[in-house]
Amino acid sequence: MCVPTQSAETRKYIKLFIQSAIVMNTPSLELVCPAGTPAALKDAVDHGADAVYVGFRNETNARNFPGLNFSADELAEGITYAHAKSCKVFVAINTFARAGASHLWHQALFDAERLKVDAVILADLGLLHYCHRTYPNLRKHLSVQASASNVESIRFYQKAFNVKRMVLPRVLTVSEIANIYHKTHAELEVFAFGGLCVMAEGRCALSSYATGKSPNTSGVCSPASHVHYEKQGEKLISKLGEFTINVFESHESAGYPTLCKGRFIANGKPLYLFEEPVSLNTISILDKLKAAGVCAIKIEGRQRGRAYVAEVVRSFRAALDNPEGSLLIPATQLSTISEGQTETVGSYERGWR
Amino acid sequence: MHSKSTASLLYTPFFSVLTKLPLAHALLQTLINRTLLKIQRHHPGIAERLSEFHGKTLLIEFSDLPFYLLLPIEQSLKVRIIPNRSEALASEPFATVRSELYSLWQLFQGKLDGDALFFSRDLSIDGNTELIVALRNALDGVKIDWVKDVFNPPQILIPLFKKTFNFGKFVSLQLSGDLKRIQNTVLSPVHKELDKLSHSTDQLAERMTALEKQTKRGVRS
Repeated sequence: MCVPTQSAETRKYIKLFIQSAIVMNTPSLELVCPAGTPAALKDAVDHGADAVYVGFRNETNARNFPGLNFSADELAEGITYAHAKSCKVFVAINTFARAGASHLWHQALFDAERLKVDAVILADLGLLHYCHRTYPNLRKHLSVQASASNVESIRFYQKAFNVKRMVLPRVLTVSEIANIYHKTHAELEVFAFGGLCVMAEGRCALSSYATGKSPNTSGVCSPASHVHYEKQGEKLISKLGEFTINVFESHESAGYPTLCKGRFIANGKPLYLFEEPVSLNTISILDKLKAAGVCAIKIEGRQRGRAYVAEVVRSFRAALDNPEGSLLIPATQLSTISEGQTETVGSYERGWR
Repeated sequence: MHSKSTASLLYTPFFSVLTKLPLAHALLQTLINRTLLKIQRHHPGIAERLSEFHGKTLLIEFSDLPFYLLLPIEQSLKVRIIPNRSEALASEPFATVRSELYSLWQLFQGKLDGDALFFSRDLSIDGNTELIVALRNALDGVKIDWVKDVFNPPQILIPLFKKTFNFGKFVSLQLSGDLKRIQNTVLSPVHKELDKLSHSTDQLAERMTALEKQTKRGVRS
């Protein structure tokens, strides 16, 4: 009997095909949606979120904005509402505990455990260790702030702290994500929509340089207390602390006053030196993300209003529920609610490579 | 980015005159404050989210209305209608938010996203950004049930009130749609004429540029 010989390359492709087929037959991607307020949580649940992520009203989470987030009582009500509709609630405790103030982060974990949240999203190594030791049954997800972007790093968090899910930083291509999945079999969650940062998540010191406050420790990038807008004729000038971030002409869309998306003069020309104010939108590549082994997609924007939450959740729910996946994209107004009113698939498909 | 048709009713000459009368201001102020009081009674979270800004004042400027709203941040929120800008600025507001009535109304109800309005330049802000962000979050954090929170009818009458309220909204939308259609019918010939004029001006400008280039070449040769 003649047995056809297979080259290593062919075997690799057969293996990848089988793995992709298995992934494609797995349940739909979990839709993880933001909620900055109780009303936004209800809207996210009502419009089809599988899970909602929230934060407490202090610097233990990376969206510590004035008037935003949840008290313990509000979160308890929110959890009851979400669980009644089979929606999970994750709590982000994803900043790095300040020296001498770790009780705040410990209290947040205590409250999350007490209120029976479905998972906590952590980044700080010390806090991960504390949580693993004190609340071994509390499900842990790794925050994007931990910036775990390679196989070794992910294996470390799995082994050391029994972290179940990794939220990947927005620096990886789809094939790099597939490689991580095939080597770790970790639950992978990726960002699907919303603001893009300069992709040095958890390690960025730009806001800290300009204002003394950073998302890593204070929970806020470009804090509103340091942001000023000035009208100069038809021009809109945005400032962060002492720094002029941008000058928008009358016909231009405005953007957030972050240094990474500032327009600065280089070689005599005003240019976006780091990154342009655009939003991530992966609605057209959801099938590729799923085939790569991603199990959950995350919508960015706990600081946004509930109109944003409702619109984005509704659109992604429709895209996920459509049997043709992302091939038939529902008509949405997503670009009008995006920063810079333009969109990109970011690093997932790097055309410049 | 959003329909402004429902606001059409507000741009009638009758309304324009009405909004300048001091008596109308007094009545409107009372109406707004009674509504705010009822909303806060049902949603104490609003005051809680604004607690760190007590004693500060926000100025609300409507780009399409002839008066201003001053909102001192206190345990109980109450607005003051001010007829002119200089008087409003004399109160030294901590922050100012500026947009059309319709946009601010939709924002207040959580139907429009504040950041999106800001990106599209339909909303502008001045002064302390923190206060504006906090107020936006405080208002966005509650879902106002107009029938239950504001009118507060007996339980048995709530379905009837809701039906009436929804019918009122429907009629208002229909009326404003009709007004919009009338407006379009009246203005569309004027718009067409303006487009033609604009096109001719562009063509003339192009010809002028071409002639200038020809003249320069002629001078050089």
